[in-house]
Amino acid sequence: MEGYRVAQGLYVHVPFCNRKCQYCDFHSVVADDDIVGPYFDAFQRELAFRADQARGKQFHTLFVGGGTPSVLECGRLEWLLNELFEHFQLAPGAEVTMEANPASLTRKKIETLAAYGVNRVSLGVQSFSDDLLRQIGRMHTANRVAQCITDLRDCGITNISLDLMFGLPSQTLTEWQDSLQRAVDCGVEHLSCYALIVEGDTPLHALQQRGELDLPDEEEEADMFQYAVDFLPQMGYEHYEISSFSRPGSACRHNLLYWTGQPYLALGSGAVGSWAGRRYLNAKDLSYYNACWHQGMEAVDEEEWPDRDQQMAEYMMTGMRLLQGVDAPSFQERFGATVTDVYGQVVKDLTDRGLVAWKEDRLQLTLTGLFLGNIVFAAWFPD
Amino acid sequence: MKQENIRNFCIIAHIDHGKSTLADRILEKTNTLNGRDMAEQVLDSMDLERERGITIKLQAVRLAYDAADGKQYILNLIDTPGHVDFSYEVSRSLAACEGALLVIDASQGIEAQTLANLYLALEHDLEIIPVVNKIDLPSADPQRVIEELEESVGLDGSDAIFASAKTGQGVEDILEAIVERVAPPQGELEAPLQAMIFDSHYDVYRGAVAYVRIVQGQLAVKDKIKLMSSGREFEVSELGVFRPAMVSVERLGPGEVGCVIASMKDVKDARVGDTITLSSSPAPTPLPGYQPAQSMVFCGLYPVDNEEFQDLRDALERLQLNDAALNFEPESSAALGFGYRCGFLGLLHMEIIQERLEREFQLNLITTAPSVEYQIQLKNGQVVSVDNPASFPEPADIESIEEPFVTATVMVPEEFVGPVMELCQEKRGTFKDMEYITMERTKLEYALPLSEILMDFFDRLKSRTKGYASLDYEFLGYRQSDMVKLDILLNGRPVDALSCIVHRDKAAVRGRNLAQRLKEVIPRQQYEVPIQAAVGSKIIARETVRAMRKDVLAKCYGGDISRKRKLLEKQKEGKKRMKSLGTVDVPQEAFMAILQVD
Repeated sequence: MEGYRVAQGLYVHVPFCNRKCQYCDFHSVVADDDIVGPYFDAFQRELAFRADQARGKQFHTLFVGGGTPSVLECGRLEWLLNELFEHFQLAPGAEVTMEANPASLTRKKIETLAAYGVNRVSLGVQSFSDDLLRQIGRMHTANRVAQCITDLRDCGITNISLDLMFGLPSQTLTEWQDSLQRAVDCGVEHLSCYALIVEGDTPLHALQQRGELDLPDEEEEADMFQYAVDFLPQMGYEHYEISSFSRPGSACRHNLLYWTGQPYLALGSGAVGSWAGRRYLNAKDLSYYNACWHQGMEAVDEEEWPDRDQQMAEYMMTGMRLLQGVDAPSFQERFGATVTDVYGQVVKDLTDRGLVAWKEDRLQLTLTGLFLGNIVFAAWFPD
Repeated sequence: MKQENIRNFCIIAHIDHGKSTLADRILEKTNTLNGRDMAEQVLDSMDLERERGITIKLQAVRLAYDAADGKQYILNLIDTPGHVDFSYEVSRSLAACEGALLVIDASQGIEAQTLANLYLALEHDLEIIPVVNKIDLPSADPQRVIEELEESVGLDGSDAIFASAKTGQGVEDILEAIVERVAPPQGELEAPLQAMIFDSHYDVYRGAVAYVRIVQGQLAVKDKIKLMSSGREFEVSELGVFRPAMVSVERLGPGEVGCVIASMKDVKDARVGDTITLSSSPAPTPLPGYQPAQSMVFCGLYPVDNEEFQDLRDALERLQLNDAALNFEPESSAALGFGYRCGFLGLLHMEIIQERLEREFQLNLITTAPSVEYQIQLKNGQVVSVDNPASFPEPADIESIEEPFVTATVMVPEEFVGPVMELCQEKRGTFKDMEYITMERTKLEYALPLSEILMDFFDRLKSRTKGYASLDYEFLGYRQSDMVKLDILLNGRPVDALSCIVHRDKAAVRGRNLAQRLKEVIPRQQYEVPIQAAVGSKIIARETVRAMRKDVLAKCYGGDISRKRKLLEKQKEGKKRMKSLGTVDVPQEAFMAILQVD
């Protein structure tokens, strides 16, 4: 996990899905042919523009997320990966991840990914219960997941991560335990355990408003999280970030860039980048995105230049998500002031409340703090 | 304009009986506004008034009407509030008029508050023009309303005008009736000026603006005026009338209604009820002033952020300018810091002030549970008035306690008499009188503790009578009651701002329900929070807010750091609206929880 400190990452957002899941508020639209084609025309222009911004820089990670990148046809995937490798310089041994939905990740696509340099795949599994999968609008089955894993390994992609969700409608602790066990049985390198959040503008939210959503209560959800936190380390997975567990040496290097405040260039509608002191959100509306890039204009919805105070607070907010915590010497090296200089009182309050503790030079979440992380993450921002 | 061509009138109506719509039609009919420019219900200009469908502050509009007799008349429409809390303001507007339209919904009939305001109008010798409104509705029963009018107040039903403010039917007749039946204002042009301030407001650029009715004499721009209560003098910089936007005029004569702007910097310079005269030839005596309004309900108002204390004070002073019924004095609470103890006419008045403070002055406030004023006889012979549970004396020192009672009048269809009587009994009421106004409508009178009306009496009355009952009340007097102080402890520590004074027989139930309610409104925190209700040293109820177990954002797409930050900031913002009492964060609604329990 060392060695990422001076790294930089490249993120590509593919804003397409076969259909929207019940809980999803991420940026994506259903992938119709008449939309995908014009989109990638515009995307190609953005790619050239970003490549110019990245000139002379080497990337240590590439992450293709979404949406569902695996909905793209083989030919499109080939083209996309080809373009990326051609325009951006990737460091030797770079981590190249693609997110995939087991429903659309065919053997042929896997072969394409392997052939074009993808060495890590993150599968949106969510659950190993077919009933539950159907309820939340997922189109795959548990068997399909097993097949994907076999195919990936056959084709040489051995760094595999599974996304799992807890706190789903009608989910029980037993079901969650079973899903975790089955994920471990797959022998994958990495697991991400995400809690369901019912966001506005999702079908789940509408159900909730109508009182028709049977969600686990806070106690049950906490029990599920607690179970993952206890169980996965016993099975040889290191808990290295709030939601992330990995075999030794298999932490997601791209996500670590985010948590440690490293720069990342981003491409694609809806992607967020942080590059050269500027944070930008690429336009979400596809027709706007297309129109802008066709006129040679950068299509962004939002942008900001975080000042030093904000950079420090965000560094603390994201850094504290890591179980190893915030490394005080790194903070000082970066900002020219110590954590105690800047946040002495905050650290004292959080320490008194038993939410954080120093371990040598690192400020870390306590076990209590792990469950009440939001109090810690929010503490660095002014009232 | 000749004095004999002026008519000053107001409209008395129950909420929802169509007063604002009728006012809109009258404005249209007199071309005061053309339809295109017209926002619905133009007289209710405060956002709050429109949202709640009630009129809070007085407004005065000047209308030009070409009557059937071929002459043009000036009609000044002075708006009146319709809610029971505001009868004090009603009397102010009545004093500026010679006539009143009594608007009654043709399917609802006369309501208790309308009756109360009607009696006030009759006391002021106003000419009453009954208007039976909404006759276009299928459920309209105008004959029954006429009957009620004749039976309950002895008005001549044949004088009534049938109208529909919605369709415009009868509006012409109403305007003609105003011209024919309402007397023109009296008052000598040559007499020394007497102008009565019936309302005022504060304008950031112009200072205090006084709304006046000229009783006699005349007032012109550049006149030197004197306010008769304070003796302070000013020069008139502007005079205006409302159509309904302000239009400048050079002078105002006897009977006219308008506003006076005279660089009155201090809000206290334009006290409602005061008389304006001329410095050069002052009137020998002021006009009879208003009775100062009696505060009936008291509560503490505290800024969530203690630094807003001074802002709260400024805001209260501003509001007091045109709301003489609002009283306040500083107080402090161990839990809430510095704030103001405020006196109000009633609950609605309290809510409106609170909302105006938050909306118009962007203050973030905590309101403590409302209380009435108790008279407590101490064993040492002293009598103390207590309107704040925090200053409730030690039980051992108390000889006896008296609490304010009101005579509550409920008008209700006959079939609901049983449920209403039951409710009044539960609320410690004593039966006084029952009267059948017509075959279907009954008037019930009860002596009730005012404190019980402050609780959810009105809501319960509505729900037990399917919304058909109307309520009015007036102060009756003090009666001896066995009251005790109910304390609430959070984390084992008493929170003064959560205490309340309750009847001994109800303490156990209230304590239990209040603890339960607090458990619902206080969010989970890092540590568990025990809630206890106690009378003296005796704990009568206990609940626990369990410790929060999990609160952590665990979501995909790590790169969107701004969004993560915003989510956290939003959460923090919600916390800022809470008051930190030691280690416990208490939301604003907790301090009002007592109102929602039995």
